[in-house]
Amino acid sequence: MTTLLEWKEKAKQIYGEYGRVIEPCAKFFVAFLTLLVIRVELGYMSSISSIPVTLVLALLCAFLPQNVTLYILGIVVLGDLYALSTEVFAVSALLFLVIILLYLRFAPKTTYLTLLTVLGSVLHVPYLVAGGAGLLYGPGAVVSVGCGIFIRYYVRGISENDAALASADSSATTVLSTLLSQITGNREMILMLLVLMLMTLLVYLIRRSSMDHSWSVAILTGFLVEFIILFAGLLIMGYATKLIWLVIGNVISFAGVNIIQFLFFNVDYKRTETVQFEDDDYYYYVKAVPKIKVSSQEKKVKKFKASGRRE
Amino acid sequence: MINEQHVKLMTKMEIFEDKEMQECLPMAEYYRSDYVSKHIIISVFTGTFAFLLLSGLLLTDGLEDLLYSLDFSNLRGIIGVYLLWYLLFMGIYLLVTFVVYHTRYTAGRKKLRKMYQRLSLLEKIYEKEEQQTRPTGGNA
Repeated sequence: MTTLLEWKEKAKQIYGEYGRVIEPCAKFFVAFLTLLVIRVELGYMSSISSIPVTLVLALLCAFLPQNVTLYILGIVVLGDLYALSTEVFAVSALLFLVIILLYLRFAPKTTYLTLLTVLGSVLHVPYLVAGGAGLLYGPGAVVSVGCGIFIRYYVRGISENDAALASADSSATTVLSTLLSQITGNREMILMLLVLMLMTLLVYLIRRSSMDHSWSVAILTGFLVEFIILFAGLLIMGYATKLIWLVIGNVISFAGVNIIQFLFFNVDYKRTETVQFEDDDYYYYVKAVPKIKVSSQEKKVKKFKASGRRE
Repeated sequence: MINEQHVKLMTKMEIFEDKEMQECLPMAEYYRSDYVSKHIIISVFTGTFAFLLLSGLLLTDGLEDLLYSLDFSNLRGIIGVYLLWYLLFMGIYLLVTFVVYHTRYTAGRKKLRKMYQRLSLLEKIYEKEEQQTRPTGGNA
């Protein structure tokens, strides 16, 4: 346990020192991975989905605000859909607009979770994002997770039905009908969406409560409720083959969420800040380095033995 | 000579200004009721637009069936149902807007209060420094 706590302090120290480098690197990695997923799943517009363009866009996302990343990725998806079919593009653009109008204007801090949920869902670990979101963010995270699941299944639906959607015989109403039926008729998506939103909300509410070990109880309750409902739901719907991924995904996610708990419970990650200001006499160029608690190896414990003699 | 306390306060204020000031500024400019009302008015527009888009998409999809089954003699009833859905949708959306911006205002004001506390502390340091450097004005 002591070694683990030392690692925690070390992680805090490394983030404090190199936070300015770690953050853009992480953003680049997430954006690049998401663009690759878009390329594999959609990739209908070769110019926008080529590797050099993907790299440049990911690099841009690394330095731009998180919300802008989401818009850039949205434009890439729409570009691909435009190459597939104008009708699909129009309907998708309208749906994205509805998401922006109803949700994105509310929660600028949790929009990145939408992206992480999409990625987590592709990697079969959306439970990790849902649990982690409940631990680290506010109630707005519930909607972000929901949006992520919706986008993931919507894009996958298009990818699976692309031949039918792009065929010349399909009229605008047929395309619209196919797209809407894959939303309203996709029972797996509706189940996943509701359960993961419920999981995030449960974890958030229990984590905020005043009970002892609230973080651990929140994780355990969230995962139990999610796993039982999804297991039963998928079994009833006849998706027995997906149960293996459900179990594997849950095991990995449970471990991941526990790592999140270990790293973030009662810890405020602050990075080194460089600021400039002036007063009447001086210009100040200040580097503010976050204070690090002494790790156990650096602590010196002095033991006093009872000598059995009084002075 | 550089005053250490002064530099600490200025640094913390500068970090706040860099990261959160932009977000908290409207809370300093508006009363709570004005701030929340402003966002509710914006939500009326965005919500109505989103509802029109969504209902438009759904209606276009089922337009053919709708036209066959539509009883035009009961047009008032159909419009009534549509309006009822709109009111229900807007009711939930505006309630969420109210809760979100009410909470955000409280949190923003708290951060601003801390910022003002630091500012007044800084002012006191300046006054103290000024008193120390001012000539005592003794008789010649």
